[in-house]
Amino acid sequence: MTGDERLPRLVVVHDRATATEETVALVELVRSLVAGGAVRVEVLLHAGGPLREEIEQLAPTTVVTELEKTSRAAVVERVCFRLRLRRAGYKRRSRRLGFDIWGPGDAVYLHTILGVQALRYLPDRAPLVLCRMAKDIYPLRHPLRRGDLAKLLERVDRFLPVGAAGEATLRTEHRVAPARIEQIPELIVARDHRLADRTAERERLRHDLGIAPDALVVGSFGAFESDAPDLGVLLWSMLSRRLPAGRRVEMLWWYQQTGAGFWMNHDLESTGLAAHTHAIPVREEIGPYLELCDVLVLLTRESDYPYGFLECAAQGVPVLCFEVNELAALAALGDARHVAPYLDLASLADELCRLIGDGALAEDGRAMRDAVARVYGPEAYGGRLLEVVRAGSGAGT
Amino acid sequence: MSGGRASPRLVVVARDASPTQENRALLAVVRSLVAIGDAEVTVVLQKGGALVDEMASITATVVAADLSRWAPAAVFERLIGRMGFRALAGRVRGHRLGLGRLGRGDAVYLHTVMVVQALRYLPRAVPVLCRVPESVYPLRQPLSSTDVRLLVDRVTRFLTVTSAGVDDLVAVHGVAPERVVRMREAVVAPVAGDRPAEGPALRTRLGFGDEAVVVGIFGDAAVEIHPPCLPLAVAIRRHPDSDAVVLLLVVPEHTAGPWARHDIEYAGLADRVAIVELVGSPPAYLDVCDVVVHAWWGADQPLAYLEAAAAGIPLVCSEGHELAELVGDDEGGYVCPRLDLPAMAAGVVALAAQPVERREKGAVAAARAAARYAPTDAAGRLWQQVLEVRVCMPS
Repeated sequence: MTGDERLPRLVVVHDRATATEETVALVELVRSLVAGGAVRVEVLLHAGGPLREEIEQLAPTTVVTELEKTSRAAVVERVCFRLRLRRAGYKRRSRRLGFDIWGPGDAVYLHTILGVQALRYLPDRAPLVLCRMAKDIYPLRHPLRRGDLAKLLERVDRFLPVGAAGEATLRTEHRVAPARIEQIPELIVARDHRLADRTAERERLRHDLGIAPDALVVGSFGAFESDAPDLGVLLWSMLSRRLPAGRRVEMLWWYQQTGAGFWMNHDLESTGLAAHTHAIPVREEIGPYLELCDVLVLLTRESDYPYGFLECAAQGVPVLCFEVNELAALAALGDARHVAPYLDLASLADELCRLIGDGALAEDGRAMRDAVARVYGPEAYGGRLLEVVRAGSGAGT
Repeated sequence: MSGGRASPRLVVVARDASPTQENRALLAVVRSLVAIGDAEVTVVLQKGGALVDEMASITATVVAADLSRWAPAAVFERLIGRMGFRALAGRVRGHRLGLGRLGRGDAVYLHTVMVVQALRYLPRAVPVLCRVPESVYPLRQPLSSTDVRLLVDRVTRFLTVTSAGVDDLVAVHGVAPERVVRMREAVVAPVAGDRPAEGPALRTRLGFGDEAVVVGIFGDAAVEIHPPCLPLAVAIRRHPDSDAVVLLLVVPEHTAGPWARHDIEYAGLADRVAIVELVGSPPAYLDVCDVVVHAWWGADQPLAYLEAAAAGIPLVCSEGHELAELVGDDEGGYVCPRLDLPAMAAGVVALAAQPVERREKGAVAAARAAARYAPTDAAGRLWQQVLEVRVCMPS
């Protein structure tokens, strides 16, 4: 291991170095932590992938699946596992990874709960373990075996859920003490060249939907039972009348096939708005449609896909919503006018029209991107992470 | 014609004879059908109600719920029903209701899909017309899937009140378009002295002051989980001259749930909006309304609004909606640009400020509703459909 040995050690654990949004964000987090110089960063990956080299250039990196297999220690470890002496096997593995000796202030950070295996290589008491819980439909109901779940609940000192749902799941379903839970803002990084270029797919989808290349796409997503998808038709109707002549605007509306969905479709047809509205049933995956949007208008009480919306915002897509929506604070960072009083559809229509009409979209998009970087970027996330580490290990007190 | 009778028979089947405006309109339609004189009209009601005697004074009326339980035929019907011979029991029930001897030249008209049960008592040869009223879900009313299937299989022609009903039948249930006809509703004005004026007491109960101008919004088929009329309430509150305006939301029972109440509280509308669940007939609530506003699209013949117009209450609605026909060039209220909430709010506030204008516009709306939705015309249209389906039935 390299680096200033006097600094506390922070081992960042991730499952694999595949080129995904989550892993790209992790790379930027590592870069930011290394640049900050407050900790000695190491990375443990369960498997490699296209981003491995970049991670290795930033910090000492170990890929578990590529540990050498013929040394004496490796053979002994395998023998232990074959003899079902698992505890002894993990102890050997721990020693090989340098996970057997920890100093004060050292910590392990699991970027995803799928890094749970690393917990078996750690001593029982030290170091401090933190685990991010990504926003998911069912937090902690990932494809985890019961044993892995138990290990997480037993060994993690601080869970870092990125949303209220994760916090609630931990508290109510898993009886985790509130002191062990610290909700933090999600880590978001804008898509770049490291991820597969999706331009062709985007253009194909646009073409399939019949959206002209020069048309602006306004997306409205979120259609669960507590939502009000039928407000969309009122908004579209007011917007269509306010638009400057010659401005082509298409609407994407993601809907649930309930009675409300039936009537929304009927209303769109009856009011002549259907020709420029693309109704996407909820069974479709939301991601590709989000990528088409130039503006997002959330008419729901809650954000059903905050991670997806955040990624959009990180790309410079302004978000408009009611003040009740959990993304209102973020939307307001882009521009305070993007947040309307609850149910004030006319205000939203006016603001949407301003954005579309006077060329403010590019400027507001930049502001949105900067705001996401400030609040959800690697520096912000890394700073918060280190605060939790210091608080947890007593170094900050 | 069947069995050598001089006139064909037309059997009108309805749920009950409770004193709603919808049933009063049916009464008027039946009266007109009898007056046309081309058919022997009989009425079968599942249950009775205050209008039974009036119906019976017009034509032969059978109330299924009042049939003797101990007549030999009734006992026989129950016996074979218990033995599992449901089809046979249905035929016996059909005879008891006077439906058994119907033939190809006769016809049955179901006034609502909710009387689907009658189809089980009918001979196969008789053509059936079925009105599909405005509802939360056309054909998705509280009917079992078996009943929906029976309707789709057995009804010769659906007479749907809304274009959404046509969409539902054709696109969702696969009914051939030629079996679906969109029909204009029959609406009657409330008769003065027909029932005690409930307005003042109801106003007090709802907490509306004497000075308040009450704007009614009636949940029709489009009002699902979230009444879209609340954004209108927000737009009205934003209007500088709207202090006297209060909104009365009358919504179907299941929509007045916690989310609707949450939204009213959250949007700060608690002092402006009263929300009540629809129990009983709308006119009781119409009595307290000075104006009604249709703030969304939804069904194109929303019955509560047609009844409001018939009762002389001015309307605010969107251009292009069927209700706009009653308003005309702002004579019966205000027609606003399509679903434009600030424009609707301005229309409501303008009507609220002018009681004389309100009355004048209300009178125009009433006259137009009486002309457009006259039961005599509705009876003529229905009879035309009867003639068509009788011709269409295979011999």
